[in-house]
Amino acid sequence: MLEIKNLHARVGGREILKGLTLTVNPGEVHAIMGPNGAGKSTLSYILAGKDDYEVTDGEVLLNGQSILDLAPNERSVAGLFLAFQYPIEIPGVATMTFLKAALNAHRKAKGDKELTTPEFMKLVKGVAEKLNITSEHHLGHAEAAGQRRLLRRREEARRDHADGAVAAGDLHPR
Amino acid sequence: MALLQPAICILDETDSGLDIDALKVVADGVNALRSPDRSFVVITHYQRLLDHIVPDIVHVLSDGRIVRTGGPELALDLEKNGYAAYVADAAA
Repeated sequence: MLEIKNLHARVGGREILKGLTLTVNPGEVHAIMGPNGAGKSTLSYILAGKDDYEVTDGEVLLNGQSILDLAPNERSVAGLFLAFQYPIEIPGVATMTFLKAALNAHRKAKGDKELTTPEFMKLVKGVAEKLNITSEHHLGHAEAAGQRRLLRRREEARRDHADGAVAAGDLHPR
Repeated sequence: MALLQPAICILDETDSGLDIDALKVVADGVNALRSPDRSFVVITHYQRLLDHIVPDIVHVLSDGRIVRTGGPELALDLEKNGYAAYVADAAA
């Protein structure tokens, strides 16, 4: 499924990976441990396709297909998923919005119909129940409430400024 | 992860900064997604996570290379004895 062969990579001119070879078969769970500075994070960034990480030798195959020339979103569609140490929040983008966009990008790439918001929320609810995620926050309700507030404020601002010239500062929830 | 149904999941120190309960929630989630056609690579500093997500294979990465491969017992050995032996091997 995943084959990493003799992978050499450098970051900022320094060689971090020096011939890493690893084969992961379908259904297997592999753990990678190692001291600080061994190259663990570099490996995950290389797999995800982060900029500034230069592969100087070797290859990475996913189901026989080389992924090193693919953009991160193409790698995602190919079936690769990376869970970060510290997930990055994109200001103004609710988790559910992000997940829906990601899922629909996958569906589009595979030629499937994109899901509508109700269809998507139904799917999320099913998955959340399966994984025992019951907190409202996890289901995105908190984010949704924040978004509604933002939209309401924007609507009010639009009414207040009939000419449509709304200063960006007016849009921030206070 | 559960929504996108990936074939291979890389978890990069997903356990850092989590308390014991949160660790268990994450591990249960991962275990629920284990299947014959999905693989995981769990990158971690601590053996603790591997009590909950029991790996098939454990690798030691040192100085940019896999220097040792074994079963779950290798993680227990590392917890007890540290990386010193592997770091020395890599430098030699």
